Amino acid sequence: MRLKLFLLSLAFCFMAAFSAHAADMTARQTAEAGADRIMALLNDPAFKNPATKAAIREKIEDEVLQLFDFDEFSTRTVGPTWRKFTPEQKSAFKTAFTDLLRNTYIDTLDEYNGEKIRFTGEVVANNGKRVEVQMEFLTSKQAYPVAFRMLEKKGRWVVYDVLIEGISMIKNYRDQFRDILAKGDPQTLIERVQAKAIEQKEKKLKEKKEAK
Amino acid sequence: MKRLFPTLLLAAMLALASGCAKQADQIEPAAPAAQAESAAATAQPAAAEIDLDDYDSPSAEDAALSRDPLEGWNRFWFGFNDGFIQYVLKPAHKGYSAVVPEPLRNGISNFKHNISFPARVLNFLLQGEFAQAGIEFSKAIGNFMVTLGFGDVTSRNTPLFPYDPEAACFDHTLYVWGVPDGPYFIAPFLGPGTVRSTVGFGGDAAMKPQNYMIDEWYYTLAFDTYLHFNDAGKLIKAYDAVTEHAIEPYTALRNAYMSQRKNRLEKLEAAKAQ
Repeated sequence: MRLKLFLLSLAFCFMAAFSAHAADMTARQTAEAGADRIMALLNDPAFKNPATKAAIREKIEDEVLQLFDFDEFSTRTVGPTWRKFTPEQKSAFKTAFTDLLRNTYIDTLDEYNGEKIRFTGEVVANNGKRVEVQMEFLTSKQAYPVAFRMLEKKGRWVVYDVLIEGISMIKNYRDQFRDILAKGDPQTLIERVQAKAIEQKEKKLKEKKEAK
Repeated sequence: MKRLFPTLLLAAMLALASGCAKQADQIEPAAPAAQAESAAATAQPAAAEIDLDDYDSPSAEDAALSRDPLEGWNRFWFGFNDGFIQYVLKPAHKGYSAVVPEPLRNGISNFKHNISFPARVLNFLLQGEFAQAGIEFSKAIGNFMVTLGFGDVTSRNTPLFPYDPEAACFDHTLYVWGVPDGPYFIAPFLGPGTVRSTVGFGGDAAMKPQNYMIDEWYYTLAFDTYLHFNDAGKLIKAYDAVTEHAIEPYTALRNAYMSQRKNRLEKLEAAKAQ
C-alpha cells in the first residue's frame, strides 16, 4: 500500500515537473503554475520555522526569477533611452533595479498570512504575442485586482509587467526614470536606484529591530 | 448666501480629501467573481485593438497621463502635503487609533458616508441616473433605520439596477455634462486631483447637508475635518504604498493617481455600455 502510494506520488511529481517545463503551456497556465508553486512554498510550515526559513526563501526567489523577467523589467522601465546605455551601464542598472525590487518586496513575504490568488480572466493582444493574465489577491477583508503582462521568450512565458489595481509597476517607474533621465545621464539614474535600494534595505532592518 | 462662504472655505481648506479619499476608496473589494469573469469575457472581442506592449514608444494615452503644465505649483504643494502627512497626520492618527478601537472608527466612517447621502442622490439626479438615485436613497434609509447611520448593512445587497457608487460625485456629474478634466492639480490638504476633480470636491461639499446644519462655520469645519481625520488610516496606507518605494515620489503619485482615475472612468463607461 505504502509503496503504491509512493510510486503514485512519484509519478505525479514527474508529471508536474514535466508539464511545468513543457514549452506548449499557455501564458495563463504558466502564471497559475508559478503562483501555485510560490503559494505552496509560502504555505510550507518550514517557512515559518526560523531554522529552515532561509532555504525556503531561496527557493521562492528562484521561482520568482523564473516567472518574472528582470531583463524585461529593466529595459522597459528605462524605455527608448536604454539604447544609449553602455553595456556596463546596462548591467549595473539591472543589478541595481533588481536589488531595489528585491529589497522592497521580499520582506512582504514574511507578512504572508494565508492570502489566496484567484484567476479571473485573460486578455490576449498584439496577435497573441502579449497576454494579460488577470487575478485577484484575496485577503481576509478585501480582494485586490492584480494582473501579469506576459510575453513568450525562448519557448516559455515570462512576466514583463505587474499591474496592481490597474497601476502598472513598470510604467510607474518609467515615468519616474524619465524625469531623472531628462535632467541627468544614465549614471545619475543608476546611482539613485542604488541609493534607494540601500535605503530600502536599511529601513527594513530598522523596522525589524524596532519590532523586536 | 451667508452660508456659501464657509462652505467654499471648507472646500478649499478641508484637511484631506477628494483626490486622496477617492484613492483610498479604490482599495475596495473588487467586483465579485461573476462580474469579473464577464468583464474579462467582454474584453476579449476588443482585444485586437489593445496594445499591451507600448513600453518602447509611449502611447498617446501614457503621454496624457504624464501631462503636467502646472508642475511648479504642484511640486510645491506636493512637498507641503507630504510634510503635513509625515509630520502631522501620521503621528496624530497613530495616537488616535491607539485610543479609538477599529470598530468604532469604522462606525464613524460609515456615519460620514451615510450622512452625505443627499449629495450622492443629488449627483445621480443631475446626471439623469434616476434609478441609481433611488438605490442610493433606499440604501441610506436602510442604514439609518437599522443602525442610525453607524453601520453599513446595505452595501452587500445587490441592487436590481446596475449601480456604481463611485459615480456619485460632482466630479463625475461635470464629466457627464462634458466638462473637460483639465490638468493635474494638487491643492493644499486636498492631495492629488485635476482641476475638475477639485471643483467637483467643492460642489460635493456644497451639497452635503451637514455643512448647513450647524450655525457656526468653524464648528462645521471642525466636524468635517474630524470625520476626514477619522478616515485617514486608509489614506496614509494608500499614500505610503505609492510613494514609499518611489525614487521620485512626486512622479510616482502623479502616475498612480492619473492611471487610477483613467481606469475608474473606463470601468464606469464599460459598465454603462453593457
